Amino acid sequence: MKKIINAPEDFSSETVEGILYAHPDRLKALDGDLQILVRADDVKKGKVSIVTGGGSGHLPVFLGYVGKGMLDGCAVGNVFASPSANKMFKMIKGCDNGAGVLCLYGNYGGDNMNFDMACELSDMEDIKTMQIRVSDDVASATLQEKKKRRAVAGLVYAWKIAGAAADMMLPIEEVAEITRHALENLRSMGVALTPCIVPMAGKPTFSIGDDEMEVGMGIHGEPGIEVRKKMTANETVRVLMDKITEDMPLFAGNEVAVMVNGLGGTPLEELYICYREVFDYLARIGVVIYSKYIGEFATSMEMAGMSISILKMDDRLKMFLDYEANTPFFTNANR
Amino acid sequence: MDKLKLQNIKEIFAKISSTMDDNKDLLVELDSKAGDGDLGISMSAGFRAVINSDAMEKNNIRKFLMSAGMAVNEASPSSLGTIIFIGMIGGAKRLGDIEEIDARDAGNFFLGSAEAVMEKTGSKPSEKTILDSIIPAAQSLINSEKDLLESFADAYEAARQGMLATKEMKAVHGRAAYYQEKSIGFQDGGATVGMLIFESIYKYLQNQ
Repeated sequence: MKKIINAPEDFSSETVEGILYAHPDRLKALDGDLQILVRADDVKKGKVSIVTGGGSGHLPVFLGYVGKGMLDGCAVGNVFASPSANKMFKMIKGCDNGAGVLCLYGNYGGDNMNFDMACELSDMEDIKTMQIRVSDDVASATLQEKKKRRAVAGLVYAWKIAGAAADMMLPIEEVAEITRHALENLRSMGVALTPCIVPMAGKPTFSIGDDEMEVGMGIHGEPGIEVRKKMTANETVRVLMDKITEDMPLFAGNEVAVMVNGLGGTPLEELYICYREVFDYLARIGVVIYSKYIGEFATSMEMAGMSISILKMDDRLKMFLDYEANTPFFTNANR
Repeated sequence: MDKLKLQNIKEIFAKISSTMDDNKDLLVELDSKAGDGDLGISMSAGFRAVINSDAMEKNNIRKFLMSAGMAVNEASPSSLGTIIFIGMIGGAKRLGDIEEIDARDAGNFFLGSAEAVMEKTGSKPSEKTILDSIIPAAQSLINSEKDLLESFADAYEAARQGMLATKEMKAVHGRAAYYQEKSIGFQDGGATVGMLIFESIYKYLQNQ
């Protein structure tokens, strides 16, 4: 293992410490607990709180989206491991403004169970919570079993929409409704070229052949749909886009938001080469790109590869997508 | 001894903690076949956390079990650490405020635990999980007419048989589920943890 770290067991906490040193005006550790991050700036009184949680190793996911117009808090686990229910509960309690707390997180077994228990603990203290699980990865289960799908970079759109709705002071039921509407129109799929190394493990926990690509692999190395021989950027994009549009048909005149997301070990140049083909692909079927994000939004440490997320737009979603978001790792104020 | 008091239950958790330490490598090996290989580390850390937590200061069984469950989850929020947490809360609720536990109460605790886990996770018996060792042991305790030690000897054996039976099962939950048919032939790590819990209780009682 070659990583620029100190002791492997300090990987997660030292990451958080670095982030807190860099952004003390925007993020703070609740009661000094490095596993519970909340906004340090002023949060609107009476606003619905949007919170999340998950393992470390995916920056900017999850904690990078805590900030104005997106998340109010995030419980941080060890690398690829859920935080505990108690940490989530403390985070929910710390973020509650009296208007309810929407727990919006990726569909993973450990996170699901811990959020369930955290919401039960919150209920005992009369804190109103709702839960929505994001499952945007089309490669992880069939459309009939959509609820089993795991989450990937589409999480960012979910937080963007929900965070905007909450900041517009909508009640929790309406925030949840628009979020679910966005999730119905959201699909992602990725491809992995190399594995990643969990610091505590010290070596890759799965392998990908030198001349192979794992189509549909998850961000923790979960097996994908198929192993393919190396493909060009254009071929790779077409494989992903075919699968996404088979799952969620797009027609001439449709408008979409597009995210081309690097998994951590793939250079920006390659992401733009991919975006080039996404653009051409959509142009060929007459689909208009309303908004695009190209860069690293949900990673898997040094894993090479990328994912594409497509959010099918309508006038309602545009309003929430355009609303200003400003976090240490993400802003749309410059577009 | 025919009933367990709060102090015995605290001592049993210390025994479980040392059993998990002793079996760390075995659990890591079992988990590496289909999971991410951290089961031994997380169980060892989870149960050690109980004996170092404020749960040990609680003065009733229900509160102790709830705090102990939370301590396991806090130290080990992995899937199984959380399942044990869910189970201990469910089991503690089933017991209610009780001063002493006999074999039948213990069976009800474990059955209540298993039912809480099934409700929260949507899992069922025969799906290659911890339920496959816990449920047969719980049923053996509920139906037992022997004394406490012999009841737990039978429960331990039932848990062991249940654990061995997971070799023939196909995984449907967690990461192992991705391996489907390929998971057949391997003993489940979670069911092994369930067996180790009963082994710990039996060995504790043997030394009383």
